[in-house]
Amino acid sequence: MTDRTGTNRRPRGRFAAATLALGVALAGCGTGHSAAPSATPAQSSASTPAASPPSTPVQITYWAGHSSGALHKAVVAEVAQFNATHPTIHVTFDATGASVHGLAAFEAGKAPNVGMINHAVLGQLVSAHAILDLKTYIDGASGLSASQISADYYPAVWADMQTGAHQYLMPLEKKALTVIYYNESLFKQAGITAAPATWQQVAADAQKITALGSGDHGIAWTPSLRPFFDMVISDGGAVFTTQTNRQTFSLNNAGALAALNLLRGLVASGDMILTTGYGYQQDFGVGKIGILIDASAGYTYDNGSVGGKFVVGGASAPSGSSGHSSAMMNGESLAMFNTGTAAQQAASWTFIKYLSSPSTNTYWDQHTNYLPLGPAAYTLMKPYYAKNTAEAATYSTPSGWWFAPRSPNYAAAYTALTGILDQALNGKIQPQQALIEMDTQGTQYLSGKVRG
Amino acid sequence: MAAGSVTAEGEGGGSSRPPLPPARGGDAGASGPVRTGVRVRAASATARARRRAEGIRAVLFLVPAALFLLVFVYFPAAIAFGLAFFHFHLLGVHTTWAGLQNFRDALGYRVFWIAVRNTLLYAALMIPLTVSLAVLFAALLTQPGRYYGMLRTAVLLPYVTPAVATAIGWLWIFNPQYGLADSLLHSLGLPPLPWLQSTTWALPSVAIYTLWHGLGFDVIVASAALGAVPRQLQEAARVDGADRWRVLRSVTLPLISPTVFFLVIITTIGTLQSFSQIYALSGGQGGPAYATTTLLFLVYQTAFTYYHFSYGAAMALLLVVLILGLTLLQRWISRRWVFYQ
Repeated sequence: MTDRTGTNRRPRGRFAAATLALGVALAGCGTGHSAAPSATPAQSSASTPAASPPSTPVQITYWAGHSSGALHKAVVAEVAQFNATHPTIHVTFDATGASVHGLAAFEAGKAPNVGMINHAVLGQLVSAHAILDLKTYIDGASGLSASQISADYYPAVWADMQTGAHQYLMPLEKKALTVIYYNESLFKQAGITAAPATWQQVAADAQKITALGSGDHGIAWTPSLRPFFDMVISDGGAVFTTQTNRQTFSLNNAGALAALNLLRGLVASGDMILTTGYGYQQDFGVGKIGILIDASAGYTYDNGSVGGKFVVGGASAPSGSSGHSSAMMNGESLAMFNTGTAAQQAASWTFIKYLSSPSTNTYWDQHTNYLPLGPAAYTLMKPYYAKNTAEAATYSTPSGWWFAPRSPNYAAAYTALTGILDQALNGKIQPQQALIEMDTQGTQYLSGKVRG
Repeated sequence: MAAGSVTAEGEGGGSSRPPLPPARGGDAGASGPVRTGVRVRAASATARARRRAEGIRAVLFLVPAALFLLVFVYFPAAIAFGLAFFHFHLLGVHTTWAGLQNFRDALGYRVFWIAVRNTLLYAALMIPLTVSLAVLFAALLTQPGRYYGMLRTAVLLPYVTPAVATAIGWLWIFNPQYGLADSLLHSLGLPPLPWLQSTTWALPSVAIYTLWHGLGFDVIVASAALGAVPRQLQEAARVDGADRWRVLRSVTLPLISPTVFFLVIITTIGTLQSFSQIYALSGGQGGPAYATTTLLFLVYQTAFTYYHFSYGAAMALLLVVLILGLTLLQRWISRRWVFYQ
């Protein structure tokens, strides 16, 4: 998750309320978790050492780059709850990105014990022996059973944690990168009665909203490859040569051309306006934009910019001409840095299990609109989803979830392809030519032939 | 020089100064030349001791600044220079010798040349605009009176604001739907511009912001230069029949040309090193479609987004060469138009 800039509002009252709410949520969630019926890791760990607590708790540090907004508040509340329920361990949270600063901190001998990291930096961290293989802990006495793993994590999520025979990561947060948020008031004015279920409906709805006039636009979007890739797949196309060979882009296909033509047409007609950064949130908040194509975790920010002026609706990734949808996912994971004493490493594992547990994940999802990591968390989320339809709509079937290749070269390829997408959307390059360029340049970067 | 003329200032002190008094505890009864020789040696020793003490004091005063430069400028620069010749990975794991490979890769990299073009285009926009507007505003604001003082403060004010924070504010101004910039164009009967969303207008938009943010400093420097121009020369020109334009062109501008040259140099270097406003205004992407990717931005992206530290260091060295080349070129051209009194 990219760090968000912005004002950090953390009144003490809200912090206390959030901590209390998390306590209540965890207490409630713990009883409903059938796969781990006795307790969450936090509760079990809290009860065991409480019998003979040491004079001073084991001190560990946690770095995560959630520095603002709802995400920051949620992680602060989670850490506070952990500290309250684990008297033998004390976690100090620092809103520092472990992906960006973790390796340098490790080199300086100041690495955190636990860090929230992006998969793109995993290779560097492993090469430098900066993080530990968690297999020992997972398979150990206080680890996770096979049944617990299958209950707590969807197969796609658990598979994303594996690096060959090693596992350096534990699941923390996953978000869908293509969801639809919409302005229900504008939809009503335009006579649209339901959320769009297909990309063609998205385009048709955008036209109707733009036709309302007075500066209204159907869609505001900061061009991103992720929704484009989902559109390609839902239109029957492919992004990579095969799902097993993801070193070669293969976007020069009919599905990709249909997706790019649709987007280019929306821009050319003025039904879609292009923004930079998080500009689409500001535009949406003004009330003149009908639809946002955003990540599920953008909800708290999008809704925040609206400030209650209208109701925000939600929908999962629309389907394409193939009849199905695609849901590219991402999100950061937990790693244990190769630092500290044995006691600190054991405490770090306890903390990692706590953050990755269904009950903590449920609290996180409810406050940030990330998606459940597994069936257990989804079960816990059901009552919340029943009351919060916009958030519920952004959840999609996990069997369709997919992740970007975990290659150190992917970020450079992504930047290059985004540049080409920008040019195509602005009419500087024809869609067909853009796709050919994407394949050529993307593969050059991804294979390491050209360095970014 | 006569021996008796040597003073406490040393042998070059000049004969007008009074001779040293007899050395305390010296040989008061010694006769002429011997006594003078002793006094000369004593004076030399005192002078040397004083010079040494002054030297030590000077070194002590310089140490903090020198340490700062050493730790935060020269040492990192030396490391970066060395890095450019390796395939370096943090902690030294798998680091191998690369020779000139990083330089060859950079010079053969398409985006590197896009960044060079953008950097030069940005400099071509910024240097003439900054210098001419600074002199113009300085000429307008170098007037006596309370209100001009307030205006000078107002012009300087943006310079003291944090670049990233104000750049985020300017994102709103450049918003093509609801921004102030397009509202202004609309009120003038002009069509709206896509500003930061356009590959054509993104870099000029960054230049507009940078002008707003940085011009105040240049105005203050130009104001100081204008204030130092001798009035009698301007008055003499007027007496000889020169109008205001002629006075400005033939008297004032030549007299402030060293300052203008200074502004050209620092604007060139500052422009080529621009980063924070580009990062903030492009959402950290350098886009759209590399439209705002300058060399320094590319160096940052290469080193700290993609973790290719050595490759980024090689690009940084090429940027240094570019800055050095441009500075030398400007220095060479300046011989034709800079007038030193």
